[in-house]
Amino acid sequence: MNALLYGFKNAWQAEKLKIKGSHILLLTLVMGTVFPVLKTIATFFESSFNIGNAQDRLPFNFFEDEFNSSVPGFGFFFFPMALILLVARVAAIEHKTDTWKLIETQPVSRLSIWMVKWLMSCLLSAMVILVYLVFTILFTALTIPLQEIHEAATFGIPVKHLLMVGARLWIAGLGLLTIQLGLSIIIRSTVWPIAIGVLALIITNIAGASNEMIASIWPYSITGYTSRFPDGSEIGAFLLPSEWQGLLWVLLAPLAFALYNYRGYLRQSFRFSKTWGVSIFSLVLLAIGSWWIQRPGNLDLLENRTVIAGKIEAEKLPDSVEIYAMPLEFRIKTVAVQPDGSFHAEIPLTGSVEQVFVRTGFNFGIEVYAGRGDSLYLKWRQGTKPGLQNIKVMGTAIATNQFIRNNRNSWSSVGYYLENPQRLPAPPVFYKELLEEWQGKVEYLGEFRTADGFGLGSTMRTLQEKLISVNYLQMAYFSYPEKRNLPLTDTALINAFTIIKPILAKVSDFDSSLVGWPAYHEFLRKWVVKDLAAGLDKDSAYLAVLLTQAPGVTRDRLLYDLSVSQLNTARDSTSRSTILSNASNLQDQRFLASLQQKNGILNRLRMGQPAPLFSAHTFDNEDVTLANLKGNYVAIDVWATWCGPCKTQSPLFERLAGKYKDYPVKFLALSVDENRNAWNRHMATNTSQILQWHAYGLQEIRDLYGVESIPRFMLIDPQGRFVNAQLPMPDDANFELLLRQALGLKAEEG
Amino acid sequence: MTSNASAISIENLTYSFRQGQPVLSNLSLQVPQGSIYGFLGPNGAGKTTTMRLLTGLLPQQGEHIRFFGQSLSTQLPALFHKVGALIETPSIYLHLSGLDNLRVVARLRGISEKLAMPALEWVRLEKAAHKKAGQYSLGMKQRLAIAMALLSGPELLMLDEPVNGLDPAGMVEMRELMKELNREKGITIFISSHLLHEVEKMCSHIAIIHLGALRFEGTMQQLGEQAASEKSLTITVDEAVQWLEKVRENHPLAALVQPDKIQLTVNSRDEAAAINRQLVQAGASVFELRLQNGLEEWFMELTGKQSNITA
Repeated sequence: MNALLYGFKNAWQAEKLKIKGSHILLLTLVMGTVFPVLKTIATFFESSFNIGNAQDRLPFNFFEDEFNSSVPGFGFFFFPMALILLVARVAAIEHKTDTWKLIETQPVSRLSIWMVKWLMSCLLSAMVILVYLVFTILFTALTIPLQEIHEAATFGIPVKHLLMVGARLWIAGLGLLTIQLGLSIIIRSTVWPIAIGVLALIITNIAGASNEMIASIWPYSITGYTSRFPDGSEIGAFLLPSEWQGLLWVLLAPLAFALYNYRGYLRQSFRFSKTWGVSIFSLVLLAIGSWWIQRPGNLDLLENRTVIAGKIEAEKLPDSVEIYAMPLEFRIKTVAVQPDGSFHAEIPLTGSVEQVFVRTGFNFGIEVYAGRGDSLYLKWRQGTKPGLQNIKVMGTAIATNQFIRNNRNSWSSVGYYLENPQRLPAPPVFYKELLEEWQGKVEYLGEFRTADGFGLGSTMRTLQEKLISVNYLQMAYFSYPEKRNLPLTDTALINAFTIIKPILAKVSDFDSSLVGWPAYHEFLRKWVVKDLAAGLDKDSAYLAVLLTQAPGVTRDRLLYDLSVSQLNTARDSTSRSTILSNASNLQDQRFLASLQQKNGILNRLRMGQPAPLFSAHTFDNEDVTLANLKGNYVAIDVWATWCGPCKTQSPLFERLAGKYKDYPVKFLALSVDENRNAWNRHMATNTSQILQWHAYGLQEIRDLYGVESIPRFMLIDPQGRFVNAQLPMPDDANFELLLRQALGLKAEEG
Repeated sequence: MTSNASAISIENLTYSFRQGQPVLSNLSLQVPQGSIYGFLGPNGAGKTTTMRLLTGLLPQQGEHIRFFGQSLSTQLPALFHKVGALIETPSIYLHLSGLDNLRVVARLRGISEKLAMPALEWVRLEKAAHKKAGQYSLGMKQRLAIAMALLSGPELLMLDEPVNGLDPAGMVEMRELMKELNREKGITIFISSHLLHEVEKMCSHIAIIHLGALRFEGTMQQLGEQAASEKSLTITVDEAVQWLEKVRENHPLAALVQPDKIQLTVNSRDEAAAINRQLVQAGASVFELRLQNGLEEWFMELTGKQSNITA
């Protein structure tokens, strides 16, 4: 046997005997069950508040769900705590009567002694995890009869998932274990190593909460980091970078061993170069390895191609996948879905980051972000109800997509002030805080990492920097002065503006990289004309400046956006014509065509225009059309069984129907359910008195009536012409007002 | 049994914790196999440091220590198969029973756990075998520790201050046990202590260390001869102060240990009688004459300390 590990097997046997007689095994059992017990108790209290069951969900594994929600608590606190306590006890067995001198005068090498303690700690760590896994499942199972469980839940025990998470937790905890063992052996007290460990645990969790990079490096917070990602790597790696980091910390072991071995004569021991040499070498490895792991990962881009591919899981697979460029909503590609659910599309993208909408049919779709050279893979689960889907975006743009999704609603205290204007501070204070917040967000761009350690690419960072700056400039130059009722020429403001110069430096007028983002358009529209005297037509001025720009993609998009916005708010067809003639400056014919189409719809829906006839049928399968109702006013509620807001508005609609039943107006509920059976089920239990029709062609309704979203309410006159193609919701007082107006009734008193 | 080499052989052992302050200076000694070897010295003389060097708890600066003819560093830690050590307070696992403690040691040494019970019988602890060691009295703990040290039938036993904290009965018991082990099993025993009289009663060889240097090494017989050459004479006399001057004429080192007692060293009984005659003839009232074999004094002289030693 190797002289370094002389007597290892014997030492291990002896250690087992020592542990058996102590309370350590009991402690292991307790530490593993404490958390499941606490969590179960908490579940009892919170299940009375559980309203999550009302929402639809795709089929999910109940145990896996409950387990995943419990892991963070275990990983952040209970597991590290268990390690600290167990490891301290393992060392303390020898501290009590200084049996160190007993075992050090046995035929067992020092290294064997230390290694046996370390291995025993590793074993106990695994035992704690196993106990935790078993008891979590057990208690979860016990609470089943006491809870209302979502109907989409399945109940197989996810053994593989549990073991994977358990293994990753164990590995992530090895670093902490080694450090604490080292401390517990060197410091010959039972209490102090525990105190140090608890302190380190608390401090790092507080620090790690505000800085993700610390959380993924520091040994005491790594297990918490792992538990935030119970599903592990998004690119199929076995370990996350933070878990590798946890393993790296074990390289402190030689140093810990040296400090134990040479206790009492450290200075002389430097002559024994071998152990110190190994320790220093390990420290160097630790440093290099950590640097390597913490570098942001980068994925290789394709050459000049952009690919969006994926695999769809659904009971009924869709025929094709359509890809639209957003926010223009131009369709750029349609590909077929293979029998196994997979699809593959190559799209032409010119920009570095663009917004793209991927959908199958009307009911399932997702916004993704991609740039030239990106390759995206979507894992798409589609349920039985429209909109019920679960999508995982993977591939080269993974960091970009996660970042945008996670930070959509990130907290802004400056934004909070603006929403509560009575709390708005004076300019110098406000702008200083605004600048600081902006700096924080920009810094975070460099710190963001996915679970696998991928950070944002440099082009994405630049873009986000600009977008963040636009957002803050918007608040600085427009929101704040508006809320405070200050003109932009106010001296206090002008002084304050100097504070935010750094932000201004990031954004330029007519920046072509930003034309894909609506926020920039909105900002530019105000910015370009901000110095215009009050009272002048801002939009005309903006248009004039816009037209002085060189013709091209940038100008086109800005012009298109302006035109669309103006179209939607135009009062009559004359103004709309003006808008269209201005838009003739557009170079890209697609924009022109799109504007004309929108204009067409708006024109068709004008008051007095004939309402297009659509085909529908009744519950008795009788074919009907709008013409059948000529001679009466018709109030239409366009709805569907899966539409939540419709369920709120429909009862009010029906109440009004009852109120006006003696008047020449018919109330019609027009369902646009794709799923006929869903409508049938609804009709089977329906007790309302109004007309119930189901539309045949949904595309028809969309195109003819420009129905982008439901519920949608319309009023048709007895000659089949529009009175109003877009009524307010029934819960708005204006709905009834408009109805009464049409019927020639005065407004009601009171 | 191994060769005729000394069980322990130390040659020119020097050790310092800090530069220029040696704790041990050129220490050399030989522990013959089969002896009970006492390593004696006042507190702070370097005994514990020597013990720690001998057991490898401190590293040597060079190669000065041999066990059974071979260098210490080449034999560690396998050496402990045939060497048992008991350093200072008994190190036992309080949460385990006496028997389990022995089983732990058995496992550490790779020997059969069946040897545990017989070992308890040697030290007469078989009745408390299943009691938790935390409940043992100090004497029982000491005996358990000895059983643990003896478990694999070592050829050499090293004990550091083994009778510390024991009552007189316990000390006697320990002494008898050591002598029995040495006699029946031929185990070499190396004991370090500051208790001269204990060492006197059980050792066959003795070495005296002071301030890191060896002052004496030899058999008990040799010790007796050395010490015998110097006896301590205590004279209880009236007006001792006055007579002290007279005694000092021939014995300048005589001292007044109490208001009525003069103490000095003499080489023989005749010398003692001569001083007595001298005083009486000069008119002194001598009440008591006491002659001791002088080991204590000689020891104190060797170690340059006043008597603080309990008999």
